[in-house]
Order: sequence, then C-alpha cells, then structure tokens
Amino acid sequence: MSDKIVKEAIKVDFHIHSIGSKFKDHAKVKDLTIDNIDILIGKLNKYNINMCAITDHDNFEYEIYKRLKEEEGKGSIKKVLPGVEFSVAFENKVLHIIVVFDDSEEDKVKSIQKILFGDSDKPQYDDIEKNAYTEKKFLEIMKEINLSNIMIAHQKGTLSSTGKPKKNDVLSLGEEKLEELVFVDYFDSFEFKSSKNEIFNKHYLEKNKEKFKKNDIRFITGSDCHDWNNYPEDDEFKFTYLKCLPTFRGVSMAMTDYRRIKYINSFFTASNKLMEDIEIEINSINKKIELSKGINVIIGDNSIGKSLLIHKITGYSYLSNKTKMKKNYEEYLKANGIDIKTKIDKKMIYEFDKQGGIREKFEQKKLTGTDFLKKYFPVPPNIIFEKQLVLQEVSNFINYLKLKKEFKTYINNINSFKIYLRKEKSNSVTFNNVDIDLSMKLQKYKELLDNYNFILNKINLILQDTKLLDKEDITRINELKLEFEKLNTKYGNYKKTTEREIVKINVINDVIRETEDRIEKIKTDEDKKFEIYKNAKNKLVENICKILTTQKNIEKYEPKLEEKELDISTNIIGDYKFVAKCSVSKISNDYIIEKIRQPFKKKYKDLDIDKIDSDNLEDMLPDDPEESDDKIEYYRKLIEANINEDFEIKNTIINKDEEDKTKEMSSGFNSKIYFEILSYQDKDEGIYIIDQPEDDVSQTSIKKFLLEDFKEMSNHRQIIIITHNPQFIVNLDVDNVIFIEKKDGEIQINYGALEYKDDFIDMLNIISENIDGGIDTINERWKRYEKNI
Amino acid sequence: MKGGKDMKKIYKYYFDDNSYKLKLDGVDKFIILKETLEFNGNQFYENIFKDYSEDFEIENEMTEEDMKADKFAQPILDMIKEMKDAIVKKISEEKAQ
Repeated sequence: MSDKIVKEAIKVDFHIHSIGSKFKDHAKVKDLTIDNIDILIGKLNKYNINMCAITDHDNFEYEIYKRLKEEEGKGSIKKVLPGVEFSVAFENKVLHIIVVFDDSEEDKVKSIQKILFGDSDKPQYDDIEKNAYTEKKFLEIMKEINLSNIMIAHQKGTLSSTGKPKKNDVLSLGEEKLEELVFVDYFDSFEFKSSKNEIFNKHYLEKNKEKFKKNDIRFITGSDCHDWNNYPEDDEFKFTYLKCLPTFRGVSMAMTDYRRIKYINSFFTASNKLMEDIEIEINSINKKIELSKGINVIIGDNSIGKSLLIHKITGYSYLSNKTKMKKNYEEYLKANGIDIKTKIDKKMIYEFDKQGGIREKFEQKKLTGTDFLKKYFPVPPNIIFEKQLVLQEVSNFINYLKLKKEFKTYINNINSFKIYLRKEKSNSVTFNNVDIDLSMKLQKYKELLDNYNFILNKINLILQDTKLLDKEDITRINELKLEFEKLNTKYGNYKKTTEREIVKINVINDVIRETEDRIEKIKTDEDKKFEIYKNAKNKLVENICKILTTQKNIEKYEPKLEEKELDISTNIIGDYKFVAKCSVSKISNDYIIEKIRQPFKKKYKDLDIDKIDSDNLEDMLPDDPEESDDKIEYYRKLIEANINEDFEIKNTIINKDEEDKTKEMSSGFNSKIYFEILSYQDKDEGIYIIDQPEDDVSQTSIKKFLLEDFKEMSNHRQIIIITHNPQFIVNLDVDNVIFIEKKDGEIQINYGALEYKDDFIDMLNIISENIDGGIDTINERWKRYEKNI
Repeated sequence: MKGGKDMKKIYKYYFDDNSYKLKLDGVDKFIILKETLEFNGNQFYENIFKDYSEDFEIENEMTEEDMKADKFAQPILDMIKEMKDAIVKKISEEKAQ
C-alpha cells in the first residue's frame, strides 16, 4: 500500500553539509563529494533517517542532491528534499536560515544554484563585507526560485541563555527583533543542536507564555554535519521526529504544529487493540480502508452512512434504538450493495460515544452517577464524628429550649389559695336514740281488748235470749257486762296512751338522727376545705421547688463546639481535581448558630438566639405540614434536616489549581472535562469512537480545549471520529481522513492523511469542497503558507 | 443586705389591722390580707424565692400578747414557716444529689 496515511513518525535531518559549503567551510568539507556519498547514505540508513536535505551554505549542489534522491524508497530514506543554508544580513548581523524546498518541480530545483551564483561560480552576496545576502536580496532569490519552502532559523544557543547570543542565531538580532519575527511567522521553526537545549527552550516558552502562545515558536534539531564519517558528529544528538507523511507538504504541515514535532518517537504508542483497516465490499468490489494508529475522521454528507459504518463494525452494540435503527441500516446497506466485512469485538473499544452520547452521560444521571466519571471520584471522607458533634450541640440547644418551656410552665402554674385554718375541736356530743320499746305493750293491750270484746259479744248474745234465765241471773249477767265494758274502756285508754307514746318516741328519734346527720356533714365539709388548702399549699411548695431547680439548670445557651476543618477527599486527574466533600467546610460555633437560625422565616434570620423560645417558634418557623403540637421537636427536625443535607457527601470536579475548593465547574464544561479525562487515560488501551464530538460545544471551546485533548489522546489510542466540523479535521491535523460520497449513484470511499495528494485526490481540496467552513479553516490554519501551498 | 455578705437574710413577720406581713430590711415583701386570707403564690415566689440562693430566717416581731389577740396570727406564721422550710429542704436535697 502507498503511504496514504500517517502510520509512523518520520525521522528527519534537514541540515547536512557537503562540498557545496566550500565557500564558507573550505577544507572542512573537501571530502564530502558525490564520490563519497555512500558514506552519508550508510550513516543515514544506520540512524534510520526517513527524510533529509543537504543544505549547503548559500549553495545547492544539484548532482549530490540527485544522487541522494536516488536512495528514496531504499533503506530508511523515504524522501530527500532540496535545500540551502542562507547567510542573510539582518541589520548588522548575519543570520543563518535553512530553507528546504518543495521537490515536485524538478526544473526549478535544478536552477537553484544558477539563481544563487548568477554568472559567477560562487554565491553572489550583495553584502560583501559580511559575506551574506541582504534580506532584500534573499527574498528576491526566494521569489526567483519560486518553490514552496520551509524556513528554519538558526538558534543553536538556547533562547533562555543570559550569555552573549551565538553568532548567526536569531537571538543575536536582539529580543525585540526575535519577537517581531515570531509575531509575523517569518520562520517555520528554529533549529537547535545540543540535546540539553531542549529543556532550556521549553523553559523559555513556559517563562514567556504571556508573550508567546504555545505554538508560536517551534523547535527542530539539525545535525549541521560537516563530516559524513562522523555523522551526526554528536553522540548525544537528538533527531527530530515529525508526525506526517514523508512529503514536502507533510513536513510543511508538521512544522506548523508543535504537537507534531518530537525528539523521541513517542507518537502512536498504542500497540494492541487497534484496527488496521476496514474491509468493505461495494457492488462486489473489495476495498480496504487503512486506519491510522492515531486520529481517523470520517466525513461526508448527512445520511451517507458514516454512523452506519461505525455501528456496523461494532455489531450495533452501541445503538440505543437497536431494532429500528438496525433495520434501517441494513436496508441502506442492501440498497447500496455494501457489505462491511470488518467486525470488532466490544473488548477492543475503550469508549463509544454515539451522537449526543456525552450529553446523555451528563444528563441522565447526576455527575456522581455517571459510570464513566464515577471511578475517578475518591473514597468519601469520614465526617461521621464531626456530624455527631454538631447533632449533639443541636440537642443541647433543643434541651435548653425545652427547659425554658418547662420553666415557663412552672411559673404559669404558680397558684394562690385561700388560707383555711381549722377551728379547735370542741367536746363531741353523743347522741343516743330513745330506745323504749312500747310495741309489745301495745300488742298486749290489743290482745286484752280483743278478749274483752269477745266476752262482751258473748254476753250480748246471752242477753238476747233470756228465756231460760232467771231474772237474777239476768241482772248478774248485766252487771258482768257492765264490769267488762268498764275494763274495755279502761284498757282501751291505756292502749291509746301507749300509741301516743310510741309516736312521740319516733318523733324524738327522728330529730336525734337528723341532728346527728347535720353534725356529720359539717365535719366533712371542714375536712374537705382543709384538704384543698393543704393541697394548694403543697402544690405551691412543689412548684417553687421545680422553678428553683429548673432555673438553676437554665444557663444562657452558648454553643461549645471546637472549630474543626472537615476532611475532603480528592483525586487529581490531569488538570482536574475530583472531589468528594460535604457542602460545609468546617464546623464551628458560628456554624451552629447559622444552623439554629436557618429554619426561620426571613425576617427572623438574624434573631438573637436567646430570644428563641417555644412561644414564638410557631411564628418564626414555616408551617408544619404535620401540624404537630410539639413545635420544639418540629424545629429540631428542621435543623437536623439542614445539617443532614450539609453533611451529605457530594462529588464535584474542580480545576486542579483552584484554591477555592467550593468553586465548582459549570455544567458547560462537561464535554471539556470528559474529553480531558479521556485524554489522560493512557493505560486502558482501546479504540475511542465518537460520533460528532462538536455537538453542544462552542467553536471557541473546540479550538481552545477539545483539539488539544484529542491530540493528546491520539498519542496512546486509536481514535475514530465522525464529524462535520472542519476544526476537527484541519486543526486537529488528523492522520487519516475517510471521505464517503455518492458518485454516479454509487457509494465511494476515499481516504488519506490531511496532507495526502496524488493524481486523483487532494485531501485538502476534498475538505474545502465538502465541509462547511472547510476552506476558511484551511486558510486560517495555513495562512503562513499562502505563498506556497 | 444588712449584716454583711455571709449573714442570713431575715424576714420579719408582723401584722396590723388589715394584714399579716413579711418584711425584709424594712420593706414589705409578702402580704396576706385579713379580709380575704388569700395566699398569693406569685408574690411569695417573686419576692421571697426568685433570687433564692441560701436559707433565710423568719422572725416574729410581734409580742406574745399581740399574738394571743389575733387567733390567726400564729397559725399563719406557722404556715409560712412550714412552707419555707419545705422548699428549702427540698432544694437542699436536690442540690445534694
């Protein structure tokens, strides 16, 4: 397969001398001839150099270039570019500028030396004194050569050096001139040689980050070899690796992005869980779409089948509406005669974010619940003890309120009473009933009178028939009758007297009984009154005792909580701190007072806590839905609910350097956080697939944050992105663009690195023609190369 | 308070035609009207016990004859003393606990 996509970094050296430098270096380079070129070729292959250029001082030896170029495709050498090291006088200093030219126009390359020498046999300097070209002449030469080029300025000494700048370095022109040249992007990069300067240069950029953006100054190394036998002349020399195709355009693009330049080959470290290619059959014709180990983007019109492609190769495992979508996708494939043969196991996938998937991750659940983020949050801090201290203090306050209420109740219960003093007991009167019983006597009289009446009745019967009786007897009987009548009268009177006596006795006894009852009643009332008085007196004594006891226990309430900072658990991931903490940072007496006041209505929020008591609680608190009688307990519930909420552990993500630990990221940064965290994960290998990462993210955020994250991520995992956003293609400097289009009724798929260009396709053209805003983004990205790309 | 800091308070009991009274340092603190014979609990607490800190004495400043002349005078003094003693005793007991 041709080198269509960026698969490996390219090792370069664009600063090698040959005998062509004889006008400056004389004998030093006398043996660096075409006859000895094999020495250099051997060395270049030994050091696995992929791209190089012989850049002689103000000269270009076409024959040597041509000979070296024959080595392209042999050994390690993939591309040899023409180049010159110019001596250019800027003001009163001479600057060395390496210029590497596009090799695509042979005739122009061939004429370089002629342009430099003119009719002479050596460089035609217009600043003879300095043996250099003036800047004006230099630019005229460049214009005359008329080839796209890359300019690399000498900066052998480090920019951070406080010593005298090295001769021929940009810094020798002074810091002001350096800043001006950087500002206008005069040079594509700055060349250094000594490996130790790598760190000094980084330090310089860090120190001057206010002045220069990260990408403003890019450094590459050049061996500046003047002795092929000893190439690269320095055992510690660090070659530069570029992430690009081994073409002039590739190098041009790599030079404009510091992330594509490294001094160790640490691009594409993912070695497992990679897809080499996607195999597709379209109308019975097999196609293999190569995939880079880095960033692969799939572009094309809406509904052309981009999402289908990633869902199909993952066996529809990440489809939410599986049945319906699967059916639609399969119908589309059938209708277009497409058979996607590549299938990858879910184990190969690190994450698959379908369209809108990130938003869902943050919306569906709380931040804490998001499976992806959950694992980064630390074990929550143990704040149970502190919470108990706070709740105990609340209990103390509630008990104080209860005591106050109790005290008030006792005060209200203080009683007054009528004093009842018992009179001295007089000698008691004994009442005896009349116990004369005349009933027997009365009964005897009655019996006697009954007998007399019986006798008299018999006598009267006798006297009714006296025929048998003599007169004398009649007289005697009448006398007897008279006697009995006297007796009857006499005892009749006795009986009556007895009856009257009985009545009298009864009356007397009734009176005695009534008197007794009345006296008894008087005695009971007195006791009762005395009892009431005694109870009232005892009650008062008891109440006063309770008041005095309670009063002693009610002191002015003051919380006695020792101030203590609450633990926070943190876990730093990249630039973020995953924090598990409760919403209160420390406990203190002020916190307790704040909590005591918190349940109150607004107008009572600043109330002196001494003024809180059970009587005014009802007014101060919100309505109690349960309408419980115990307002103090209701108040306790409200305070405790607030404290429980305060002590609830919440997970948040904050900036790593954010001092204010309570300041949390806004939800708008969700995607930023998400992608950054993904970019930090370099251990869990696997492919990251995402369908339209630009969703819900502003263009500024993409430019400012997301591109950086994706570039970082691409160093250690394969990425497949579906996008319509030109920034994700052009500014991301993707390693492979897969373009799906429908041409003449048939689906066609082309692919290649961003810089890829052949006789049929030019990827930059495809992007500019098919992506909204593509041309603008390309122009913006390459404005410094308008002159030559 | 007269008599120095460590001296016990002494309430004086006396009566006139209208009432039986306790006074402290010449100021009437507690009054029972003869007409109603009502014992005012609030007055008793507020004026005698509210600032109670230690036991005090109730001293009768009436003569024996005065006392004999009013049949309620002695029982009322006894009652007040009895109540005061009961309160003091109970408070001391609780303090001891």
